[in-house]
Amino acid sequence: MKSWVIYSCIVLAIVASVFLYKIKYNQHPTVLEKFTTGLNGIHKHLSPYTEIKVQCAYSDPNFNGSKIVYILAPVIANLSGQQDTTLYVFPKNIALDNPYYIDSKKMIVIWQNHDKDIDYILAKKP
Amino acid sequence: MNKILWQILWFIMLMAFTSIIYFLSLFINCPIIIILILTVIFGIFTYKWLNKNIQSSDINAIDKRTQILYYIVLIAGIAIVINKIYYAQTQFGEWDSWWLWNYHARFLTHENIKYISHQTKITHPDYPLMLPGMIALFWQLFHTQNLIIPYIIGLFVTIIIPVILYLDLYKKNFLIAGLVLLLIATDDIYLRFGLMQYADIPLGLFFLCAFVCVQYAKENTTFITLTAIFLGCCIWTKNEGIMLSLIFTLFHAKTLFTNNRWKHFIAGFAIPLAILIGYKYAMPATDLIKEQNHKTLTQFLDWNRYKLIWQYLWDNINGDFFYIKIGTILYGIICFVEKKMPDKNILILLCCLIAVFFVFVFTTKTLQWHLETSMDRVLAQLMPAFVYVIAIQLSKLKLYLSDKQG
Repeated sequence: MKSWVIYSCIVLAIVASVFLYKIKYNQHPTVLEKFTTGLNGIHKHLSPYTEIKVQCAYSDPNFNGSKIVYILAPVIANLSGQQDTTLYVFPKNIALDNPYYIDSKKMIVIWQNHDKDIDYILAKKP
Repeated sequence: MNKILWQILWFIMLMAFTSIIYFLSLFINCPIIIILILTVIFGIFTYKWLNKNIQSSDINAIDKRTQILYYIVLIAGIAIVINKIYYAQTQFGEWDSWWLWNYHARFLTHENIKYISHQTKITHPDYPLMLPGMIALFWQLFHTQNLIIPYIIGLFVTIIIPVILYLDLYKKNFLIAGLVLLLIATDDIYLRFGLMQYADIPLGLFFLCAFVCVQYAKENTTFITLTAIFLGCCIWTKNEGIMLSLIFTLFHAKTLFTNNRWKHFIAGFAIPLAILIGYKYAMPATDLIKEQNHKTLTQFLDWNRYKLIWQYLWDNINGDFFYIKIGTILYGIICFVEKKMPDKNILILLCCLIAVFFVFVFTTKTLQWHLETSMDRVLAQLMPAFVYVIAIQLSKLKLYLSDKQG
């Protein structure tokens, strides 16, 4: 077999797949924003002390099968008026125990939630 | 071996070397340009070495019409893979990719290397760093942490496995080679695992390469070094790779170590082994060893654990990896008819399965959770080698039937 035919096939396959990947995910949010789907824009309609459920991307049964993060409405209410604020939810053990995460993302931790034995962080960019 | 195949193996070896040299460079704060220069030197040196020592099979001996048929099947296989990948891919991989492999890669950058010892228990700091090293290198190179990089690495590995299988098998038995290519190209489970951006399929690739190289090792000692290099890649990719490499080496000890061949083996295996030992010394022990306690014996004697593990293993083989079962049964029939012992490579893979079985017996995690999260991935690691070994054996069927008819 001719080498160039095989190499062209492999390179074309990779380029085509990356192109399709770009098309498929062009309109989607970034990795951290993915976890906040459901948070953005809903805080305006909440009354104080209402618990809201945030569908989270964590489905690992090692974490007691929890897929839901509960966040008290007042926390959200405090952010009212900051319509453009994007909130980020991620596990405390990843976020805080590793200084890299907070450093690089330049996050401000605004609230922690204790969901059974999992701690979640709610944060926003300054 | 045909030239394209050893060139592909060379490229995979070069990628692995780059990851290792990058990891080592972090400790002396070596500029990325030096790593690139070293990679080019290593690439040229190893390419010339392989070109000189490997006698490539003569492709021109095949008539043009057959060659075109080979191309058509290969192109069809790759086209199916591209189409399937569109549906199988996820933007950021899955759980382990973003909180483990890609996350570890973030530590492997010059500015973050100081944090590497801060990795918490939950992110498995003991895991080898072949994949994170590759990702981090490209991130550094392009001054970005774009998640397209781990995606492209996963994509390359996913595409290259069926290509390697096809290129090695097509001359032995074109029908089997074509079937294997189309089988993997249409296997949604394999494609999903490949695009999850986990280290399981890269480990499967390195293990497959070791099986491919050892087939040629009896005639040419260059392949002993190559086999050792790929086994070295296995141990620096995942902890399971250490176990798989050990079993492989024990079974092939005669081929790899006798008649002064051990020198060629050491030449390929020494560097990854030294790095792994150094890294393991610096990092906490793996959970499986560290967390063993007085319950270990109880677990070993608990029959219910064996039943549960068997049930998961059997369900996975019957579900996601049914073709392994069909291939093994077919091969078993051939062995029975020919009244011969199963091939050594099949026994290696069966031993790997038994070893995996006992990893689950001794796991300190919740067994059911561990089985749910890991059993299918462990089988995915072994799948490429399993398919290759069974396909080689089934390829001989044609020769056997021809002999009988003759």
